[in-house]
Amino acid sequence: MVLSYTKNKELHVFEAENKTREVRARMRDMCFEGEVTIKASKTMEILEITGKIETSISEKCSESLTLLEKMKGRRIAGGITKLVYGIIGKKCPYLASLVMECIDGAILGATVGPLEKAIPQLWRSREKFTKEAIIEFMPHMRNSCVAYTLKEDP
Amino acid sequence: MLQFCRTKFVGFEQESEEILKIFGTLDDTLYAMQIEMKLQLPELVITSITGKMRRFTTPFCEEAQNFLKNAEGLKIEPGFQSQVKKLIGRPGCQHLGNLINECCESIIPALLYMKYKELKEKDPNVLMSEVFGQLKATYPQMESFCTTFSHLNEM
Repeated sequence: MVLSYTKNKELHVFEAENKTREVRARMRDMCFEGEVTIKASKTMEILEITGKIETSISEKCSESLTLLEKMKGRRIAGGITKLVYGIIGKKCPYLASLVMECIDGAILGATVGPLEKAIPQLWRSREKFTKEAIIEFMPHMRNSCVAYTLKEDP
Repeated sequence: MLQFCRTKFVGFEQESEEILKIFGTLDDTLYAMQIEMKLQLPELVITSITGKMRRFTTPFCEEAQNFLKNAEGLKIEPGFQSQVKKLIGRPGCQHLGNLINECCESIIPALLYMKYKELKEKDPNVLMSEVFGQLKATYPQMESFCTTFSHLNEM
């Protein structure tokens, strides 16, 4: 059967100068096409943020581009989702979704390096590949998902 | 230098007047997974969901598939994203939860587009306000959490 609706979202995370990270998220569906780019510091502060909207059914979305500036200087940490949807989502949920994709990208970019080093080693010695071992390696991930949760964890 | 790359795809298929079939795939540097769910219309309730994790980082990740069934019965209404994180993301897999939310967030634009296409076939000059009006009559719950709807209301 033919699809009635499709959406594509792409995320690219680049290593940039001075240990910063450039994150680009692009989305295209039947009603919207746009892009958001952020530059995040090593300490996860949003240093720069820009966006562009090529297609939108609501004029409010294009108007909301100026709101991106309000995210500048914010730190990617607890409460950021509420902040993004509070500031941008009220005007344009699409744009808020792209900002959130960039935020996820900044976090994933910071995680991918250590994971790329540790995981292949652990896969090679399966008997050592325990939940305790990966939690010890990445303690900040504890309780974040099934792989990083021990039976005794709440 | 490129450090990480992720692509997500969401597709909707109108199985019948009452059932919408939704497909989602996520493929990135670390993970690859797919889901398929059915949504009951006009209630916007997830009636079934299946999925498969094809690439992951740990031998424990696949256990997350068992949490997918937690989404059955979930209604697409304000706050559904937090529910997905709570029921599937946190106990199972954040990326699987992210993919479910990606699919569910597309429901309004998908229904809007499908209604627009349907009405445009009858009237090539159909206005978005007309599309919105008809959609609102079928899905009154949408207006409570969709800013796009409130914007269209002003058009």
